[in-house]
Amino acid sequence: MESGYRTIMWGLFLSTFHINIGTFPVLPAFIGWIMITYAIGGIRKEAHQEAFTRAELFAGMISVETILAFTLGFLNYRSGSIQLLSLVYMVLYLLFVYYLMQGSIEYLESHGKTSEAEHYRGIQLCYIIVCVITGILGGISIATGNVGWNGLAGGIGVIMVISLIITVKNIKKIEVRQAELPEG
Amino acid sequence: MAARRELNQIALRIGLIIMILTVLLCSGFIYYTKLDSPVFLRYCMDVELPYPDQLPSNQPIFRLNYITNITDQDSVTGINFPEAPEVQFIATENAYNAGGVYFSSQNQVLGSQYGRYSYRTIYAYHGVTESENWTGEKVVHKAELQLSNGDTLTVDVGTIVFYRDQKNQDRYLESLSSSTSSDGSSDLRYQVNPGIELISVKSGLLDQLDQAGDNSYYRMEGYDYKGFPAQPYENDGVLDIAIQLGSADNMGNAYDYYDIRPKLYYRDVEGNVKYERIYCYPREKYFRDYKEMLCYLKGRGAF
Repeated sequence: MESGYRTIMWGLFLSTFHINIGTFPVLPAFIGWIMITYAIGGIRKEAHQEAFTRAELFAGMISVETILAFTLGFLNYRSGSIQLLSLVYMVLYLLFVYYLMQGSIEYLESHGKTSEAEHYRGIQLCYIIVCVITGILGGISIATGNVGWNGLAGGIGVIMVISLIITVKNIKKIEVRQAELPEG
Repeated sequence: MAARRELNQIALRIGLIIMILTVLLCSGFIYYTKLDSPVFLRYCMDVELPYPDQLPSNQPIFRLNYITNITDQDSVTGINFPEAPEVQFIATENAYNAGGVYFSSQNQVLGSQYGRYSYRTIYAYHGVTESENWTGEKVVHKAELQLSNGDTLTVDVGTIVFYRDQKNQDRYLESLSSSTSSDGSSDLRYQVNPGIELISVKSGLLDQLDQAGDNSYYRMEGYDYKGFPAQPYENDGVLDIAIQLGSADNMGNAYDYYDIRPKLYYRDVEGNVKYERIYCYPREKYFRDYKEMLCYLKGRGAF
């Protein structure tokens, strides 16, 4: 599970911070999302939590969405529908974050880590609220073509991803201790 | 724990409802405000065609503005007027790009962005006619545009009068003062050479003045231009002209462009009937923001 969470961290990083040479994307966003989907699949098999199945499903859907957006962008296809795709992305992203957190919380609960689980439930609620606020701002910026709102939504989104990476890292650490307990 | 779990589930449901509503509202708004075809501002203007030896190289003869979707990547590469095929221009959306200077069209930013619209300017250069010494007027209402994707688009541009007057006319009117105000009013004062008799003012475009707004007028010495001179005019050496263009009655015509140059006919000392153009400040209103552009497009019935 530890390596699964590590892959999710890298996947989240690569899906947000793209590496380009000139205008050519070396590591486009969908690479990160495919990594995340693959990693959650691995965690699901170990943890047997229903929520991870859903998280995997939504990560997979985001992978398809990002591949589609990348292809359309690569073909220089500009239309209102490509921007609507990013609105769909926001809805899928909310569901992905919710179920990733839900699966991790349920796993912690099932291993008696109730106080940690409680802590992460609070964080899960914060993510839901931030996702919805980002979604509304993103929607307004797309509908009105307002660059300012777009920047604000993007900024909040980046802060949230960094926060999510840190959260995943912390959950991973708990798992390490859990794995070490029987030996100690 | 269970209460916290339920709270998060409720938050997710409410969040999803809000996000799906946002997606639906935004999609609806995007499709509702999308333009089927570019919307051209309406023009009511006289455009002087220079003689071939007077052609300014880097100054456009006239400009046309239009509004299109921000996703529209086509630009105008040529313009002609089916009602006056002999008048030809070089058209481009890049200022100072006429005369064979080539700029790459890759990644160029077309026009200025107003929300989901792009406000574009077409610059028309050169302006040649079939005959080098042609004088007269050509009235056009429609323009045929060549687009960068190879398509042709015919659009309504209002009324444009291309004219060319005789070269090196004697000037009997001398401008003494002129002022203009942002409310659309202009005051012009000319010194009139003594010995000439002012006869009438003529312009096909002045008849469209009422479309510029309810309170529009074109007065000479206090009289409406149609009745000027109302009585045999006494030349006291000064001619006062007061012009009011607009203000527009609704958003649909607030941004119409007016540049009317009527012909003032007079009889000179030798008894010949001649004319001179009276120039005034064009009425041109700029869009301040996306909301104004939306209101204008709604007023024009674009969606």
